[in-house]
Amino acid sequence: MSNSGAAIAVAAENLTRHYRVSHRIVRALEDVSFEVRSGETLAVIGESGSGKSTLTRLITGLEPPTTGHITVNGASPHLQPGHPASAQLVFQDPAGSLNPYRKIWKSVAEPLRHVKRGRRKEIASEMLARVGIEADRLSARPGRLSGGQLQRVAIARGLVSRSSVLVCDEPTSALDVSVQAQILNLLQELQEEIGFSCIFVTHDLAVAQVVADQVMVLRHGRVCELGNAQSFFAGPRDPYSVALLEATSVARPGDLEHSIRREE
Amino acid sequence: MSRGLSVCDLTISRKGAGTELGIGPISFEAEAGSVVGIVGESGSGKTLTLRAVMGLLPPGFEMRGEVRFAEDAHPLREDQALRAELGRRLGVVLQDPFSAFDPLKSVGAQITEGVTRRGILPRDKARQRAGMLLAQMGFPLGENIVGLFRHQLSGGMAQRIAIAMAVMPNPAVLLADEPTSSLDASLRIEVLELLRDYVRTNDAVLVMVSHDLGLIARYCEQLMVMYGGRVVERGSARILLDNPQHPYTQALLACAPHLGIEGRRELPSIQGSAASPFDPRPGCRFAPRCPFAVDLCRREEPVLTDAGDASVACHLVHRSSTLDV
Amino acid sequence: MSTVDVFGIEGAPLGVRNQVKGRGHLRSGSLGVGLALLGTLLVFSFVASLVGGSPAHQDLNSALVGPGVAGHLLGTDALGRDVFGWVGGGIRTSLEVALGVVTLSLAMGCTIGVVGGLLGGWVDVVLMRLADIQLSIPPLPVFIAVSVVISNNMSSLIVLIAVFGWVPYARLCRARVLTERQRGYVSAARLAGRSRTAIAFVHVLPGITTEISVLASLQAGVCLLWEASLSFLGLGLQPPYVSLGYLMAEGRQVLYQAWWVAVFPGATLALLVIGFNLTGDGIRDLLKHDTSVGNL
Repeated sequence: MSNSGAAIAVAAENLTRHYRVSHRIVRALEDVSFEVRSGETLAVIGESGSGKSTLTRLITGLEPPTTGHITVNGASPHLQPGHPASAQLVFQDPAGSLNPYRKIWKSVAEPLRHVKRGRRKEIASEMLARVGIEADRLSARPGRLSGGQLQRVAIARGLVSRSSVLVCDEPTSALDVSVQAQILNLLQELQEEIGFSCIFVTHDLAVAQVVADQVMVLRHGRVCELGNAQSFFAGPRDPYSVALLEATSVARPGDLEHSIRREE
Repeated sequence: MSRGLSVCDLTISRKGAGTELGIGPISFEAEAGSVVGIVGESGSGKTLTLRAVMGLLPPGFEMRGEVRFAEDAHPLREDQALRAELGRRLGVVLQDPFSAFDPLKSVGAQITEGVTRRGILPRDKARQRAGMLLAQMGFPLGENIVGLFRHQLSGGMAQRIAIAMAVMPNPAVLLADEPTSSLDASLRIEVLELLRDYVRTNDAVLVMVSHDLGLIARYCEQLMVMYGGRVVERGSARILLDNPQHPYTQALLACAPHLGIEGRRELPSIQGSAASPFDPRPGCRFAPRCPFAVDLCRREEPVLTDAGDASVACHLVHRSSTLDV
Repeated sequence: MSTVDVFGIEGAPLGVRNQVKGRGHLRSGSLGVGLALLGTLLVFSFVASLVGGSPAHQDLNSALVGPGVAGHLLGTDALGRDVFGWVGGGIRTSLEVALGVVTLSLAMGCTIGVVGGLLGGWVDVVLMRLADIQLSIPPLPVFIAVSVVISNNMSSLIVLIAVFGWVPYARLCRARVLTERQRGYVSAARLAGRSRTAIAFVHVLPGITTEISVLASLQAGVCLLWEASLSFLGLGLQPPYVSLGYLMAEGRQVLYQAWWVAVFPGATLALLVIGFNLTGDGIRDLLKHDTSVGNL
């Protein structure tokens, strides 16, 4: 449900990122431009080597672009990573994204630097409850939680500082199908409640279809296709997108029957 | 002589656990040239099951039951016996393709090492066979591959070479644990086609563990769905996925996102989290999460029995099928 | 929805596998023996200070008395000093030196390692070459040369030995900083607004405490031997310091008449070193269990 009147939360213009490795130049991203409005989800689809992870680092400000601009809520993210208005990140590997020696509520409270000490635990607990982590698990360490629970914690951490932009880098790729469904539903619920914009990186087109308002396909660092989700999935134009679509939709027997049955 | 595989009443339990049920009982028969799929999520026991057939159970676990190669007169019952078959009649392909390779040796050396060291093939024949297999895997004449090292390979290359390595001894059974989940979508189909081709041309059996229902549907003849250490449904893949009878299978199919006409939406999901195979509580493993559970489900564990075209372990399915008769 | 308390089942809480593996190994094995040994020696030294004669007290009338005599449980040396008391005092001296050296080289090494790892670039290169230089200098000639200059001073000796011991800590900390820098939670901490130094101390270093303990235990043993060797040569700690090495040197001269003067301090030294080594090995074993996650 795109909101054409809403403000633009993330804007990228000719975004380019090169790395120098030994004496070669790796062109991770080349001339990428897009806009994400408030409350919207942009699905970034790409395979390995497409530059999608690099994009997440540029949006969150962990790295600066080589040329081009990126703004998050009007400001340039690299100048102030960790600023409350900047984008937060949910990583693919649920275990690696949390310090294994810290209690989870402390990890969730980490972005609350500008909040008084006394209030931090309270806010973190509230957020954890919202993502479905029970109160008795607050002082647990990551080792005691399952992958799905860890991703919920990571989402809580991403939203706790009231950031209006959440970047998710393959957040469900390492999770079971049923857990993935729970997490995807959770993200959509929270997005409706809180109203953040989401940039959702994935290689799975089916997952992208569930969450996306807009779709951007990346290949070798360049944008192959960018547009409204509905029209993309109805019929992509770029041959690479078409190929991806075909590779993903390995027809399941009874697919058509399933959708009919659910409608009844 | 037929090269099929049959597994009979395989159970895996923790050592010293007494009467505690672990994973299983698992039974199935696979004809030579066919593919068996095992579908399950974390905690279903699917990986331990595969490990048991490989003879590679981690310390602290023991297995009971029989694994029989069709060409043998007698079944194998000990994990040592199975482990001895690794690299002979059992080939293994794992999820992480790079884990199959020693980073310090060239790939070529490693492909032939397994068979030459066990005296299965003399060195020159081994090299010939390696070249032929690599060509089948899509590497022209295999020459420039042979000198490469692990870090020079991409994921797709590594997995294809790992498969070539696994089939060098012409195994009767190939065991694959999520062989494509670390690969890009475009490569997955390629790799599975290779596996299936090998199996059909060489009269072997492929037992594949996966969570990707689409791939399973396309490449497996037989399918077993596992939950909480039990097989909850078993039968022909096509029939099972067209018409799943067990509530878990139905829920699993429903919550997997698939490309269709709908866009942004809420996915059906299974509330709660996965059951453990070692949970001592009585009753059906899925009962706490099953929308149809009744008292009987919480008291007695259902047994896998025939129901129409498949075998299902569910009281409600049995009840309705017996009523129908 | 019970926590899955099962070893090796994927999807189980990730730490459970480690717990199940580690249980039962904590109390047995090298760690227990090592700590027990050190503990016993410490107790022994306190008993000696209460019951035994003062190591400084010389009594020529009771020179070279054999062990087992009342008042001189382990005998006396050529100057009538009580061996029991001396060994007890020697244990304390050795432990003081070990503590001093380990603390100092730990502090130096970790700081250098963290700074190098965090800052990278030429700073890192310079620091690591410094480490290489330090390692390539043979300790013994330097110890001997410097000892002559500093003469009988425990603090200087500690500094001297520490200067030759910081490199393993530096390398460990630096490697840790470099690997952890890539981890998801470090990026997350940066996104949360933490400064680089804060990240190093809060997130990265706490994980190494076990490995550092291994290094420290093993280093303690080594530096005891250095101190004893130097004191034996007449260079390290001489009276009024109470050094096991010094007594061993004395004992060497009367080895055939009065074996106890050399053997008791020697055996004590050996036990101390064994104690530290076993402790270090024990901690290392614990570590092995901790990090070996069964990959199913």
